[in-house]
Amino acid sequence: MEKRMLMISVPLGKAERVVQLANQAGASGATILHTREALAEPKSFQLEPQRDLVLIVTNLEFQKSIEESIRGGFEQAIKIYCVPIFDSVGLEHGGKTISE
Amino acid sequence: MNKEHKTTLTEKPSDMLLASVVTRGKGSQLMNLLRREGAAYAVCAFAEGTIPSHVLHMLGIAKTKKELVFAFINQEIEEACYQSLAKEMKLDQTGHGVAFSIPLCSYPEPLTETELAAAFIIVDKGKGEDVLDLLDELELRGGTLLSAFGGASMTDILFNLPIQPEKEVIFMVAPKEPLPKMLRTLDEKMSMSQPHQGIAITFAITRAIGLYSEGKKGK
Repeated sequence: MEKRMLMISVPLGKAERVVQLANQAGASGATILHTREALAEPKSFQLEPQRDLVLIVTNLEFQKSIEESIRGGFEQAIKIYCVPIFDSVGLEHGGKTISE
Repeated sequence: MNKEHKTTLTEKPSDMLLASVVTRGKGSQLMNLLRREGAAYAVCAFAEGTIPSHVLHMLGIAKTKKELVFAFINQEIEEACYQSLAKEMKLDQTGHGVAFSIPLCSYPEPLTETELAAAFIIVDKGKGEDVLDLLDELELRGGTLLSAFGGASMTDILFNLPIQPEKEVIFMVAPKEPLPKMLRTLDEKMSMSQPHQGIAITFAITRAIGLYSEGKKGK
């Protein structure tokens, strides 16, 4: 089954809300990276806001509902990027998708 | 909730994820460089490199401090980004860092076959070294280690305290051929097909620069 990885960038501390919304829409887990983002116009002295980057691996059938659930749960714009997965192991309990 | 003004970058999608690993302290410079070239968005995380120099190896230092940058770009500016990375960050020379392109779902063209792929392995904290040892046995070296947090058990409460399990992420670029074997080995040795034992995923790569192994530099 085709799988995707969603990369969702939210302000620091909002990752828990993203995970809750994603789980409500069918996601089975997430991984959170603490990152900082680049500003659109770099200056000589700048502060880089901290962000949580939430990684959610999901089946294709849940992708849209997860994206909609996350966008619907936040007032501000949420950056969501989708990466197609080539091959995987460990995404389903007992399910293997290793290509020969 | 006013949703009329809600805009997302998925309405004007970037179609390429440009991932770069550079020495600690150069992440901001690299993010600014890519933003200047037109990247829609860029974030940076602290990471650890797992290929020490000969001197560090003799001193028993197994890891080096790195920064991992994820930049989301349009393929039209990919060439300019790589040229800038080579010119200003010297990524075309060994030892200055690596960068590679992973197509996003919105990538408009059919993927061209390349010899390389990226792997993302997520395990519980403390198991990252075991994964690196397994990869080493398969002669897959050069992974980047990141600290992360799990989200699946975030709502668990123990004695009124929320539990957020710590994770380790190994991110690496490798030849495509041994990756099915790598996934099988991870499954056999670390029981990844069982629940809560970690996951491993691989992605297609269309272009890379600065890789450790000879003959992989440039396009």
